[in-house]
Amino acid sequence: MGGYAPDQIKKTKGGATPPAVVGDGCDLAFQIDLVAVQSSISAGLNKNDELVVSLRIQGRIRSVVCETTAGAVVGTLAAFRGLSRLIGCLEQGVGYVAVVETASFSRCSVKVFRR
Amino acid sequence: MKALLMSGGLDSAALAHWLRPEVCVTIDYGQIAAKGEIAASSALCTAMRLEHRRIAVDLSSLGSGSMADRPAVSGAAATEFWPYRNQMLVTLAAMMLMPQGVTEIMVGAVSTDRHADGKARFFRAMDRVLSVQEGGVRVTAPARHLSTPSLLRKSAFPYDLIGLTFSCHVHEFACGQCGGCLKHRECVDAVYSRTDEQVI
Repeated sequence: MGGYAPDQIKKTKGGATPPAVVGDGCDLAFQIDLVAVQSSISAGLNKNDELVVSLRIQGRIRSVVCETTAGAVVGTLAAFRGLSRLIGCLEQGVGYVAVVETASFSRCSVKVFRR
Repeated sequence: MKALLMSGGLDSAALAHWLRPEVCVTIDYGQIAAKGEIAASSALCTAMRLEHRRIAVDLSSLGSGSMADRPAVSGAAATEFWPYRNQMLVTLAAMMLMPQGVTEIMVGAVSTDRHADGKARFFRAMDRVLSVQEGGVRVTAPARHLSTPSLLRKSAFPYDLIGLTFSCHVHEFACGQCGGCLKHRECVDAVYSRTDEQVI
């Protein structure tokens, strides 16, 4: 319950570079570790497995999840500066795929591309 | 027996890793993000080989602020303020664990907590309230003097477990936009040399 506000966020070390933007602004491509990994699902993934990037809406809040083709959520795309753009593109109907780079019970790294 | 209130966020996860309580307790009190907190806490405890217990009591009709999907009450220091939240969580945990012999309930408050129920005066008062009752249970906040980045470093919390943590206040799946998610990102960036989030 720390009460952080968005304007308190500052760039620190680490990969805080926003995704590249070209064309209609939806040609996003980036690699990222998922947040809130669902350990039982992530543990069963292999390199190059493809995940579906989709929106999950709860009330007024939208989250971007990566899920298997069977609909099991692996984790969320939450910790990067291009998130609002990605949400906007998904709402326009743009499709993205997340390709698994590494996966374990506690960590899942993916490369995200436009379909 | 020492118990830790665990939400699955960075602070309680780091405390669990550092102090290894006999039991970690996650409470679904009707907050919007309850499912995410329970999933994260359960996975973290499994990974750290700690016992995890859950309490479910639907108090959503009494909540306010973003964690209850309602307007914040007047005077709230932040949008997620839920009146008497830590007092309620400590009490519920004590109600379940006192009969089983708990001696101490730890809370994952840190130095940057802005609400009154995250401050030293509150914890002194809660410690007094519980310790004068049957069971003599103590209430502590071992990281109250530390910031979240300092706690992550002191606890040697491994980056490999960061992916299991969950700090969202407003969604079952981390939204990346609320105060909890933004704090999570800021603190992880401050502590770990991340190799993720590369533009391709």
